[in-house]
Amino acid sequence: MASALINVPKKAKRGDVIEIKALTSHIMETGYRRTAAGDLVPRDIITSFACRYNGREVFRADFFPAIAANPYLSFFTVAQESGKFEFEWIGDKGFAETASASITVECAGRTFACRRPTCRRPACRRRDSGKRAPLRL
Amino acid sequence: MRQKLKTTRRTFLHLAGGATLAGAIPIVTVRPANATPAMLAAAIRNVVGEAPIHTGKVKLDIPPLVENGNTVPMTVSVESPMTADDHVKSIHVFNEKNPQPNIGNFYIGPWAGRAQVSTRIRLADSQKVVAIAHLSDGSFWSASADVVVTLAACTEEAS
Repeated sequence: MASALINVPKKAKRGDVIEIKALTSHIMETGYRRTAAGDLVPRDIITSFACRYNGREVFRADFFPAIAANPYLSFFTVAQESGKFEFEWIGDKGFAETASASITVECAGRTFACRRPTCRRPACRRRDSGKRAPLRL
Repeated sequence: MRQKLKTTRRTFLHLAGGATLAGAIPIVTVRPANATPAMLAAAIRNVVGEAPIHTGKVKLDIPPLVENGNTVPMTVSVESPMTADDHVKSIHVFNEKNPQPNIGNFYIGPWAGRAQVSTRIRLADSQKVVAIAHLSDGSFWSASADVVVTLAACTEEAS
């Protein structure tokens, strides 16, 4: 059951601070509730969340029963290079859920030349071969 | 600065003192006892250790009055340039009266660009919520907010 919803900007300029939102469907049973018969409902929560950006961990969270059902998270990271964000939720009773999203990172400043001659990013290459954008002085 | 430190220590002693009192009264309940200010202080000490906690830098955004404690939006942001030398390492959120004092721990770094985390939490009662940020220089900064909850979480019967 694909129950994770994630929101990562499709495109960003290098160096931009981007917001990442992640939501997953989970009951987050606290372990403190009782049924009408008086039995304690066993705890069933997500205990940890991690986000990796091209393999490198950029955000990690430990959850406790005080996190609401269907845990939602929003956090930030700096767009550095095109690639993939991978998300992982781990919880009680062997709960594991993963999701991923890709991002395209362009050189900063589309309207004037990127000053890095070695830049091989699609956006910069296109500009070099075609009509060159005027340099801003 | 010195003044600030003093206040923090006093607040902490206050909490600890209150805790001893609360501990002395035998509590016989069917439900697990809720976290007490002592548990809150203990949970905070667990993360912070002996380091002093300063007030400031941290902003805890949470509605002062919520109708439903089952899902309360919360945002913690920390004033920080988020450079390699000066950044926020982690943000910890605690509560006073839920069955457990911890809410969540969030680990970030200079690559985050902005020290801000949002999530949705549960509150079992009207209480104080505390956010603590651990900075790269080893200092701890905190902010707290009081929330009034009309419908509590956790206590209802499971269907």
